[in-house]
Amino acid sequence: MSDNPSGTQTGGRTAAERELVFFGRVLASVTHDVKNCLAIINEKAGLAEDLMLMADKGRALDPARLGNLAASIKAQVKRADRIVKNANTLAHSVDAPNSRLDVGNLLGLVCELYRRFADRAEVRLDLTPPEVPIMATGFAFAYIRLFSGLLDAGLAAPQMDKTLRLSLAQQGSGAELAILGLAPEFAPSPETAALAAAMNVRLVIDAAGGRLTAELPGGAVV
Amino acid sequence: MSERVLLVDDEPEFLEAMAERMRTRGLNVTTAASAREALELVGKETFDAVILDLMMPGMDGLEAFKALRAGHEDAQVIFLTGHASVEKGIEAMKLGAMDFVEKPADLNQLLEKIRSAKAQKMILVEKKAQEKIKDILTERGW
Repeated sequence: MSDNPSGTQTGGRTAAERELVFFGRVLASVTHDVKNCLAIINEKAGLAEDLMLMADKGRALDPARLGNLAASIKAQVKRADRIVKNANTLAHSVDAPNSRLDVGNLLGLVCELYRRFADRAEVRLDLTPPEVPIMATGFAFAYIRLFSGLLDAGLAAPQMDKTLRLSLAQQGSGAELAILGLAPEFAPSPETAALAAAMNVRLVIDAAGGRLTAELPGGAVV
Repeated sequence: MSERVLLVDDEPEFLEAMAERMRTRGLNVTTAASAREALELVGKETFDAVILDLMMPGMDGLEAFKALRAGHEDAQVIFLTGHASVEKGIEAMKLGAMDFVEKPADLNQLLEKIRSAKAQKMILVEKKAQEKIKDILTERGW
């Protein structure tokens, strides 16, 4: 999938280094999110301990309060599980160079992995998933890198309302990804543009309309 | 007198739970869900220690720290970090943060650091007051 498979330098980094940087950046964000879940679980468990200590000293235990704490801990475990599952899906996206893929799921995955980056940029990601599954055959990681490259460019250039609206829909035998809410200075990096070309994905930028359309071909890709 | 603490984190559940546990231990806790809110509060109230999350949407902890220190050089800041590496914490210390604690935090350890922050702040405030008195004495030739 690489736009620079020979490993020669572009923009100061080889293609392999850029992929490692991507993995490192996402992994750092994911582990940070998991740490936040653990911190909340730690404090809720601490609160439960405090309540028990107070009960030992004669204060009545409130079952509803304990129930809320347990529910909150469970919710954080669920949140952490989802974060780890996403990281696991990303890790396995490099397993097979040519497999049957659900493109909508991959776009959803990238949006979830990018949630923290979007939050830091104070940009809202609003994804409308496809009505029917959009399947393709190809390299899952290539799709992830294409979507992440487009999101990186989008997060760097949002319109004033700071909301990127993404949608994916079937278009003939292929699919169309649309990103709306882009400022006129929006420009995918040369690496993302090269990857799109290698995947036979046509990128159409409507600067005045603040819109990018990526026309994804049907059948086997990359 | 109880320690006055400003707790800053963008995770509301963490903020609520940690604040409640600190209050149970007698601390006077104010919370802020963003760096901007924290900066506003620091402009209005005095705190013995500010517990600041390093990674927050918009203005992150280090930026907030620089802005906070620009107007309140005696503010004692303890960073809370979700980073597994200590690099960011060291960066914060180099900028003048009092200390840093990794998440999930040990509350007893954090309380110790808050007490140290209060003591440090009292020394700085006292030093400032002495300097002021010295200036007045010199100015008036007494």
